[in-house]
Amino acid sequence: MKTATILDKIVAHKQQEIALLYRNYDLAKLHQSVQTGQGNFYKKLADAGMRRESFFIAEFKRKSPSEGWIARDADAAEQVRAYARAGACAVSVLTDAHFFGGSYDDLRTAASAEGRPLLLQKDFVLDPIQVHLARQSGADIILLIAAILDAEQLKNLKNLAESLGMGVIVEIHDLADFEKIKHLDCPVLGINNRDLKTFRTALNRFNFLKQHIRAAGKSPFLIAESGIRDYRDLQALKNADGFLIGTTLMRQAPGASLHDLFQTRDPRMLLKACGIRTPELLREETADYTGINFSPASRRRVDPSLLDQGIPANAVAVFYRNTEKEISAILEKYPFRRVQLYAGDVSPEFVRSLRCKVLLACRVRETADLEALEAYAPDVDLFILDGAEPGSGRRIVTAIPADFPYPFLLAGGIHIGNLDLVKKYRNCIGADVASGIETDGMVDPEKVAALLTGVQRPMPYRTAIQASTGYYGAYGGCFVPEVLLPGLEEIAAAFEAIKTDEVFQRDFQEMLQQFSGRPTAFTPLPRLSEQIGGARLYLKNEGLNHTGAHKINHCIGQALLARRLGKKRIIAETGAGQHGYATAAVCARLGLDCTVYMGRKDYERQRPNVYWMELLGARVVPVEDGSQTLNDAVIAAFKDWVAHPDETYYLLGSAVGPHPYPAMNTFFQKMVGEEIRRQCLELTGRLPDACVACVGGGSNALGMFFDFLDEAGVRLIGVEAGGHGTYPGEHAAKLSRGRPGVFEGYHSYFLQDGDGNIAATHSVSAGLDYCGVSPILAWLADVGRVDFAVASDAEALEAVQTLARTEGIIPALESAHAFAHAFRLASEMPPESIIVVNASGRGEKDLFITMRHFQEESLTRYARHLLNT
Amino acid sequence: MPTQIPVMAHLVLGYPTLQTSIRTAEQYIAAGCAILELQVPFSHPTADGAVITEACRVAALDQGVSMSDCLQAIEFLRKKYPSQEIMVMSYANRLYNFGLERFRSEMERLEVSRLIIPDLPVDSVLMPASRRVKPVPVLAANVTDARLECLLGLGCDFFYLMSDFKITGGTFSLHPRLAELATRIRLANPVARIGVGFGIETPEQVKAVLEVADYAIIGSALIRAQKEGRLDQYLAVLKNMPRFTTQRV
Repeated sequence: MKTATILDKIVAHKQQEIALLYRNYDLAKLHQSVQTGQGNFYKKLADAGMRRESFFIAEFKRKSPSEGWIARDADAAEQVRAYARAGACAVSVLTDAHFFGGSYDDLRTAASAEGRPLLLQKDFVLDPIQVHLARQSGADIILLIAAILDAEQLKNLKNLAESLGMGVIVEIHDLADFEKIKHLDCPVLGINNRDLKTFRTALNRFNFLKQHIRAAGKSPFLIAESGIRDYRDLQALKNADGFLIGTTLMRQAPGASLHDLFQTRDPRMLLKACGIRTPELLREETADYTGINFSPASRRRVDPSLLDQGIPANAVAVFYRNTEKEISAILEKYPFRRVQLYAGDVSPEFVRSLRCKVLLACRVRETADLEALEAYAPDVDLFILDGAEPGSGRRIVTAIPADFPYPFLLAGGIHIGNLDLVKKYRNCIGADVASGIETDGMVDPEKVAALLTGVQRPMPYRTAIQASTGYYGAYGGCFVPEVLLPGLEEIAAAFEAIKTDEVFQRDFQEMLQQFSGRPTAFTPLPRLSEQIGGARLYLKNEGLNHTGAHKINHCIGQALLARRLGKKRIIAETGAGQHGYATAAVCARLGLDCTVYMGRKDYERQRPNVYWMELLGARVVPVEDGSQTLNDAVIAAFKDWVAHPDETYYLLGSAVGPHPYPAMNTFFQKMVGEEIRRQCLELTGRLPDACVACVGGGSNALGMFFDFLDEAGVRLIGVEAGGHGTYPGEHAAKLSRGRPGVFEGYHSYFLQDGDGNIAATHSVSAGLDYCGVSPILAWLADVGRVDFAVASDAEALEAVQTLARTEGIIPALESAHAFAHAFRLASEMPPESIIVVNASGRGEKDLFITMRHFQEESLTRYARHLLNT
Repeated sequence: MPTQIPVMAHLVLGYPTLQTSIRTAEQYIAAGCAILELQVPFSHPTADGAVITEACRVAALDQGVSMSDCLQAIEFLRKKYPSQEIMVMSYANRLYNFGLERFRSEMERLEVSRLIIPDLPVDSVLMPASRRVKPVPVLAANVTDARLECLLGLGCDFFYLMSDFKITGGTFSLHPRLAELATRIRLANPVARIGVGFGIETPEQVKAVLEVADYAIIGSALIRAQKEGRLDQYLAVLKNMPRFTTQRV
């Protein structure tokens, strides 16, 4: 016989209540009199996502079955105002009286509060009359619980609520719920971390269900519900779009900022200091978690008398090779809020029997070890992935895939020197350190403090780049002759100033719009996607910019900066001529004198661009030195600058070179990614799964990637020029085939020979034909945030033709490298996923190169014709 | 103590061949050049003019001169001329590629007195200098007071001044503010030595430079003379310059 769960009891009671409601209200009259809502819940959720803000739904709750009375006499209006001040985007108001002490009066009082945010009616909704009453009492959103409704009821109630102008959160808590709602169109799903049968919460239930939702090809907004007590818990739910938080907030002093409370402004890595066994470190301030070891196998085993003074909220009881019986006995005596267990030591059933939060550790010897975690996934709060021999300080975490799907702490041999490892993993939210905080076998408070500063310091990628003084990890810097330092310092100072200067930003935006025609189009590629038969492809058409490529973005930015510095003379280098062409156009527009250096070889083979530049009034100087290509042009420009440091501004053409050029050109290009974010959300309702860009120096790739760097769910892939071979001189794949070095003012990856001489490069696309790469990309490659691939000359040429014929767009040969790789990627990804490719330039400039490949004879005929007329 | 001429003579190791470059160095020493500046060739010498760039390309790429070749050449000269002051000049990527620590200890072992790395500011994190092998800042008249103070504070006591805003081997001119810069350095550090280079060729130019500096640094002109087969005559002209005595620092 099945015993009645709490949920069964609530539902039974609710049916009686509904019968009462029908006695007091006339549904037909209610339906006529009720006013349609204007809450715009879905749009506000999308907007918050676009601003990358956490969407907090704070709950007004007087009591709960699991907690009893929380705030019996609280005033709903006052609480709503306090929540609004604290930054809540919506407030959830319980209307269930019997189990939660709420009422429709509470909802009405809440609705009367001045300046209130959106209101969510929280109840066990079974019947249309409840939906009508919710709207009549002021609700903008209702919650429909999948576990208590069948699919038909869900659909009807949802349609009713939406027809009354309300948003709907469909709440699921297990796979059976998801199966039920899978075929409904639900823009927002709430994932309740609470097991509705036992009322136990487990934070990873959210991540577990999210996995299944994504696997089914669905991408609704996801709200995490239940069990969120503090900032640590929020980190474990970092992949949620919003959070519903109740009990914790009702117990807080009203008005404290939610963003402060949950530390959402500057998300950072968490630190777990393990093996704490002295009273001075058994404190909240020591680390985000402190591990108190009860393992019989550990030399760090604690003397339990240490705990007689009390157990701080951040303390975690660590069990390794303890029996389930021992663990229960210890937890009975010492009521820890969190425990750490090892996957092999305990069963999933035992985990489900615990009432505290569970950090489940796994010894990862090979990737297969991770498969065993699936059985625990819906019932734990966080994972810890550990080296093979816990506590030995040896690291063998290479078996952890970079995209391990659940949030986890990385353990095993972490110390202050290798903390950056945590960034290699998409879902790693912090480090668990034991031997790394010890000196001679004892916990060293100084090392703990240093690590805590260490985890607090690693900033989000975007902040790290924007706040950088020129170093990105070990890369970057300003390695130039002394004579150039004053000029670079002047530019760096001006760059800092314009970042926040409204007048400059206004001029910049205005010129981008009026001169270059921004924003550029975001184009679905349906025919191509269908032909490939995988992910949905989109392109960002930077080729629609004035002068035909993204280059003009940073040319406008830098030329305005030069004007601000009072410089009248601009110098630039160019390879293919695109940067020179854009520079010449911007200089003509702003009335600046312009000199462009170009290797003799490029000067000859890119003659149309030379002509454009000259037509625009620029002086184009062919460089006879060296290999007569881009490198030599860069050096010639530097030499010009050495000779005329005062009056000249060097307008460098990629995210390379000495500080501040890499940061500055990234800054002047980042609108590309910002536009993609907005356009992709508008068109598809979500962010891309992957962004692909070609990489020469890196300006178009960084422009596209920058805005997504801190979106763990967006894969970023740079595609380098594979040329026609893997030997030196046959390609231009720096990150895939180069080595670190220092050249042209910066520390990064370069193509070079065994002695450190710069190697020759080759690519069919002149814009990728360069020996170095942005130090920012070198760093992002090393820490694993951006992946790199290679596409050959032949693949790029084929991609030009494919895109031209299926979608009517001719990309530049540079951008075609990105497409070539995106085609491969798309075929490996599921049909619901989204890939965006940056079409950094248009292909008209490649006329003579592509024509020679596709229609050589007709090119020859045309050349003859021109000569004869 | 031999009398010497106040010339810092520059050559590219490995140009036109390694053996020839060693013999050329010996000629410079025989001519009495106070300082020998030996350049480890790099394929892309970003701060050098056409003459030295071409010499570097020949040495680094055509001759394929490696760092160990260069170190052996320096070792040979050091052993044969123990009192000759030798400075080593190169670009960051050659040293980075060889290993900065390893390069530093080799420089100490070979008693190289100074390092001139134009693309590394002397206080940069990558500069492989030490107390025994100090870095030489290469300055022009645009150096700011704050930067100069910083360099003096770092203990720099040999300054390489660019005659004017240009790269090596161009036409010679002396920037009007250079004398003032030299005075500023001497006032702050009376024992600091100053060399002026970039574009120096004729005895008149050497004389003009020695008005403000301790050494005239000659590079491109020597390579040109050698290429045109008139190195002996050119060195003879330099030898007839007024002599002065100096000692290795």
